[in-house]
Amino acid sequence: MTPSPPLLEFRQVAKQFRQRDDSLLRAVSGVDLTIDREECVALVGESGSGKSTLARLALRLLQPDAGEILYRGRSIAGMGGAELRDFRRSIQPVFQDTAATFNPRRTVRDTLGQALRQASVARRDVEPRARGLLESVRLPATAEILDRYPHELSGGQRQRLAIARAIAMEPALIIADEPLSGADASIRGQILNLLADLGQERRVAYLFITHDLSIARAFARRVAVIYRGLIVEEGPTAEVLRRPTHPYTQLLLASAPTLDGSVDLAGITSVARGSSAGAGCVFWPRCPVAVDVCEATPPPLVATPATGHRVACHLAGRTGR
Amino acid sequence: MAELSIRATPGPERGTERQPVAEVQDLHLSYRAGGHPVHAVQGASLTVFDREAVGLVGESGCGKSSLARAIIGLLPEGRTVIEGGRLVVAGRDVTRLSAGEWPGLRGSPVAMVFQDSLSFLNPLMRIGAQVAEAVVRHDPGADPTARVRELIDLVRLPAVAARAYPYELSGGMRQRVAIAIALGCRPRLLVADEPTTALDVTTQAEILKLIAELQASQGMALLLISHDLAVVRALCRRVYVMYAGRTVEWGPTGAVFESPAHPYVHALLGAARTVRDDHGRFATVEGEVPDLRHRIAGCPFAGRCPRALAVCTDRMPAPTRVAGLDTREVRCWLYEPDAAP
Repeated sequence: MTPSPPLLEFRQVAKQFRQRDDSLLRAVSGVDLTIDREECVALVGESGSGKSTLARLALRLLQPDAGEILYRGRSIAGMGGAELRDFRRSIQPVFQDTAATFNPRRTVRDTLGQALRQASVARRDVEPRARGLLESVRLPATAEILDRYPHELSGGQRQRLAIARAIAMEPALIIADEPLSGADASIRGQILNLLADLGQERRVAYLFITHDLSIARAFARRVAVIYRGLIVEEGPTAEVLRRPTHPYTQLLLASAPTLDGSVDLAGITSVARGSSAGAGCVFWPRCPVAVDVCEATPPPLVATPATGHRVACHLAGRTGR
Repeated sequence: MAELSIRATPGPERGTERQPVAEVQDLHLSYRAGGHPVHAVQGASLTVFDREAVGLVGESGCGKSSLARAIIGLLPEGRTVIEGGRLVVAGRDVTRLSAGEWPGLRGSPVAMVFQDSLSFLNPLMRIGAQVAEAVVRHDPGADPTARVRELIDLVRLPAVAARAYPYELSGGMRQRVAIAIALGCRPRLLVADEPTTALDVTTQAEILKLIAELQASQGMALLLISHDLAVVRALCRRVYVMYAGRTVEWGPTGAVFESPAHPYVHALLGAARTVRDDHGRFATVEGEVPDLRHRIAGCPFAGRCPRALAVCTDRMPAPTRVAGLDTREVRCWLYEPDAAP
């Protein structure tokens, strides 16, 4: 209930791409989403859902075709000069493929040094600050590490370096795009602990993009489920995972194998009504419970006032669901 | 050792005499890479019986893929040195098999499905032709046209998929093609190395369901290699856990996951659960995996193990039954009655 605007706000944001055969791919269509200061929001979706496009739009690496994105209440499209530089510092990405995000010819010292100089740190302070960053991400702050090249670090160490580079800018928001994909279980815990600590120590908000609901469950207070460019369900993580309302969220939860073996593979029903969703609900082609209205009319994202849980499904709230 | 495993294994079909289709006994192998040999597998044992589904789990670099590739003779030639142990596939000792002899065993009795089906499939050949290749080669009695149609249907692909090129298919559909090719060889054992790692959760569930159904309906054994413990839990009755080139614990999957005996397996499962403890922390396995360019005399986990004894850094123990858990074997001094604390 703060009077100040949210940290980041998507308002009816849409983005489409022209494909090779000249058809248009609606990557993101009409997304509303807010992230408050120091809040951690998970964006859950599969490949092709538009979640990474949304990340690139938020970073202003892409321009939306419609709608707007506000940072602290100001449209990022209209920013320039000092305001744009401040915005670029305040919102930092951490990507999945850390090997590809570093210049292979720069040592750890140079990588962090460049980030720190961009953050206007005085030249003589760069080295001690770089060591401080390494400590923050629980890497040994030694000359031996500072002199290494990215390929000389392990995957987990490289992910820490990516986080160190992001926090060098003292951002208000980190957009983490599948930062744990491909990481082994033992590394996953280390990275999650680190991100949680940094969130507290440095009051950073997170937009945590993942395909893994268990990570959303563990890490984020709020979760948004995205399917084919649309948010189909959004709300407090505990609420959404305890009472998944959208059939797609239900399918995601039912599909994820668990360590106690509770997943019932035989019970997963797959439906295929052709590939195009047409005018109706985006999930209609795969939905096991669709009715006539679903094919023709897109359902609006409707909130349940009591829980703050939003769902885009014609069947939501009907008895028996 | 193999004898112990036979008794230790609960069979899916009780009363049937089951033969091991693949046996790995205390395998040691190294790769020569540049100046440094990498001691990738240093004491791994595993038995897969006919018609059973076995999981092989471990983190990256633990040697699980090397072990799988050893079973199907796909170790890099000239760079691999088998230093010890024995490999038996379908009753034949293949430990010292030459590269020229392997093709006779590949496809049938052992076929393999990989993580990256795009690089496995020929980009210039239609799907049907690629499936037909496997049938012609490994199932000479079959009518290729009819059998290809049957296989495409078996993996729940639409018949038109046979006319498609690999790039026209989604990742999940390509993985179905890879499975169809494997089945075309009529294998006794299907080795699947991270078959769903590159797929989305809902596609993964469909492929896992398909593999489970086919394993049962085709009467073949399955060796599923994965870093994802939950995937193995969904499909496999028995599991082997590897760490730094060694199999360290094995037994029924449910029992191993519910009450792991080896401290590494215990730590790994804690980390895999991705839940916060009372202090809001996620469980981790502290420390780093040892460098396999160096030989390790003792247990490779000793340096990270919260329960390590003095003996642990000296020698690696032989597999032992865990008292009270007679279906479980573990290589850990904590379960050796003679180890002094």
